[in-house]
Parts: sequence; structure tokens; C-alpha cells
Amino acid sequence: MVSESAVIIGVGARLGVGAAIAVKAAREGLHVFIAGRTPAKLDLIVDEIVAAGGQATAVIMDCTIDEDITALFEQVSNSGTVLRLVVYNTGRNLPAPFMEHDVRLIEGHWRRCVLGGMLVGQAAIRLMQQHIDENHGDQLGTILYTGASASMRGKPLFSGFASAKAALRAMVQSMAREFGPQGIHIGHIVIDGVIDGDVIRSVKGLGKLALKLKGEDGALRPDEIAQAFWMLHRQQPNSWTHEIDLRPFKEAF
Amino acid sequence: MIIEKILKNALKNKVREFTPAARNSPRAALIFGGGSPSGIGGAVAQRVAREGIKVYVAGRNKEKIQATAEAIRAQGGDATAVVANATSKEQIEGAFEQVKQDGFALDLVVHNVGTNRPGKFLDVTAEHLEKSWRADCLSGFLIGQQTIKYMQPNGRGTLMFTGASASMRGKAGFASFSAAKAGLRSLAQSMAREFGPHGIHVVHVVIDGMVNGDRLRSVLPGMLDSKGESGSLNPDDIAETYWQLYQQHRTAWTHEIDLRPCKEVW
Repeated sequence: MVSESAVIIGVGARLGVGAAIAVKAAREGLHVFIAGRTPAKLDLIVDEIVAAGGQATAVIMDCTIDEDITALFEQVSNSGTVLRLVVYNTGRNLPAPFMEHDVRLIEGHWRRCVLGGMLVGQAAIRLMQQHIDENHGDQLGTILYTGASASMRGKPLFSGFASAKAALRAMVQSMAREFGPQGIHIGHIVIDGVIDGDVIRSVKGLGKLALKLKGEDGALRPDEIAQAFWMLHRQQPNSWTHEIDLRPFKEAF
Repeated sequence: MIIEKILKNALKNKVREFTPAARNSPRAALIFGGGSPSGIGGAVAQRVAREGIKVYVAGRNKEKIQATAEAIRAQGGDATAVVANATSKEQIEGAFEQVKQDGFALDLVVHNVGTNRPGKFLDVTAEHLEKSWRADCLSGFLIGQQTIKYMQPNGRGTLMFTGASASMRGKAGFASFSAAKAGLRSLAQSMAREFGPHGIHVVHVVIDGMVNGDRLRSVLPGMLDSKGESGSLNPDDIAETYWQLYQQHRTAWTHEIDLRPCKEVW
């Protein structure tokens, strides 16, 4: 039997959304290609997956560079696996006042969210469309995008991030309408709240304080987020979800 | 300013721990609109029962809810049929009281109630508009209040509402249904914001498309066939998503989710 694969783009720290999805997908039997910028971080995750009996390949890449994305999907194509799941999990949401935004900053957000999301979506769809086979009927594969509450509304200090995330959301919705009937499940997961991971912990002083103030179970656990991504991937084509929100039970929204 | 806001939120979020009663009593689910084993309510009831949870199947039609309860028992599950009209406050209260009297901790309530009678706007009568509102929206309010009353002492539980694409936008010919469903959606959203911090997970599931269940099969069989494979929603697959949402950990709860066939135009 041909083995199936997943591509997770935007994998960094072990305690993060990308890594949690990679570990989950590997545990479910997919060969995972984990793509990110920091080799040391990726190696740790590959080691963990392999130690647990799974299959993983680290790919160093920048999601805003066309050549990197092309190379990544070529590698997947040459691996002899059938691509079933792609996750685009990128974006940086450092707050900044509107008047301090400049072209570099707003373009950076746009590149990471919208441009990268488009390039990855196109490459993923092209590869998935090569594998139309009898056994899978309507279902070719799943492409999931990580969204944020900023995808839905612009809060103060997040103008650049919110505009990029909202644009990504609109693009992804358009993709879902175009490719759903062709058997590609496009999903958008809106994460609304602080993620209890390495990113928030690395924010000096404030990060740990913010987590503490959220209280018990007040921040999203990456493993529980991964569970929702996996739920969408496993849905039958007669009842697909396009958009889902995830937030801690005590989050004000 | 940000720190001040975080502090304010932290103080606001006083969370109750699970009470001993909730930990020790067996769990039960109460499904309103569970009549007919092959509709959404019936499928959810069977999915939940398969996990060893006692299920109360509530609805107006005694024969139908008994059929669902029997289907569950035939699969080795535990189910009781409860006749209750979802627009009657007394009958709803009776259903909740029965679960409590039987010694169960109510952990899941599903509101899968409603009627969808399309018609031209100028033909809609005040009576019809009110009937829609009572069946689709008022029933959600009545069941919602009872749910909170019985779940809050436990400090946990899940309340799920079945919505429709009409919950999101009014299409031509669906004025009364859309008004009622949009009202129900707002009610659910407001409840989620109020009771999430108390440990009660309120979910609104937007079903966008034709459901391949008894109701449509009896009135529009040709329509379902013309949609083809994956052209209409399968109640069992809808029920799987309901089950997954019920299973969500409280650090990552979903309030709203859409479900539609891959071929659906939306």
C-alpha cells in the first residue's frame, strides 16, 4: 500500500500548534514533512516522531519564498507518498501602534499570511490533483489554514496583522468554494486566545504573567488544537466544515 | 493598559470546579428532536449511546422517539423515550426532572428542533411567523434555561443547537424560518459568552445543505437522488462531528461550526 503524507508548514517550538499537529498526524500513520526556519527545533520534533515509530522529514524553508515552496512540494512528490493533508500555520502577531506601521511591516504580514498561503495552496492543490483514484472517491485531500481572532476583526495595535489575516480568510473561503466540489477540503481554524506554548513563554516577563493570569485551562493547549485540525481532516465529504473557532472556555469574546 | 485588562478578565473568570455530585453520578444526554432513528437527532442519540452514556430521547411523536430508543437498546445502549413538546415549558421541565430523578448527571443536551416551511413573504401570516418563532427560537430559550439550571451545579456540561444556513442569512422565501433561526443563533452565542466561564460549553452547528434523513426522503426523494453521492449530508457523519465537539477539552472549545456537502454551492 502506498503511504500517505502530510505537510505541516510553520513548525517551530515543540510546544506549539504546528508541532502538535505534526505529532498527531504522524501518530495517525501519515509521513509528515515538517517545514520551518529553525533546523534545531525541527530536528527535535523529527526525533520524537521517529522514536515513537512514526515517519518524519524536516524541511528548512521560508514560507514567503516561492522557490522554497516549490522545492518542498517537489520533495514530497518525489517521496513516493500520496499527499493527503497540508497545514499552513504561519504568522507573527507582535502588536504595534498603527502610526508605527511602515511598508516593511505591513508587507511582511501580507507575505507571511496571504502570499505564502496562496503559493502553498496552489502547490498543494496541484499535487493533490495528481492523485485522483477510485478508492478515495470524492476526497482528494485536506488543506487547513490557521486563523486568529484577528481574521474576524481588527483590534487596536494589530492593524497590519489583522489586515493580513482577514485577507487570508477571504482567500481561503474563495478556495473552499472553488475546490470543495473537486474533492479538496479547505478549512480555516480560528484560534481565539492565548496558546499555552513556547511562543508566549518566550515573551520576556509579560508572557508568563499573561499565562498565569489566564488561570487554570485559560490558555489553548496545542495538543487540543491539533485534535480539532485532525477532526476536520477526518470528516466525510458529505459533511465538511469550512470554518471552526477554538477558544478557552473562560475566554471573553 | 493590556495588563489591566488581563487582570480584569482573570478576576471575572471565577471557575467552579467539578462538584462531587458531577464526578460520581453516571452521565446522561437529553436529545430534543430525536424522533426517527435516521435523522440528525436520532443519529446523535445513537452515537452518544454507543459510548456508554444513557440517552433520553425527547420529542412530540411517541412512536418516533420510541423507535430511536429501541434502536439504541438493540445496539446494547441505554435509552428512554420522553414525550415532550419543545414549545411547552411544563413538558420540557418534566423531561429534565426525569433525568434528575433517575439519578443521572446531565452532561449533554441537544436542541435539534424546528420546522422549515418556505413561502412567499406576502403569504406569511402573523400566526405562521409566531409558530416558527415558537418552534425554532422559543424552544431553544426554554431548553437552554433548563439546561443551565441542571448543569450549573455540576460545573460542566455541553449544550448543542442545530442551526441552518438560514441562521446566517435570509434567503428569498424563507423569511419566517430565517428570522427564527437567526434569533436562535444569537441566543446561543449570548449563552456561550455567559456560561462558558462557568464550564458549560454552548455550541451552534450550522447545517448547510440537504440532510439525507427520513424527513427529506419522505417529501423529496427525487431531490436527494439528484444530488448524488456526497451531495447531501449523512446524519451519521453529522453525529460524528457532534460527538467530537462534545469531547473537546475546555482549553479549546468551538462555539460555531459549519457542515456542508463538498458539492454544495454556498
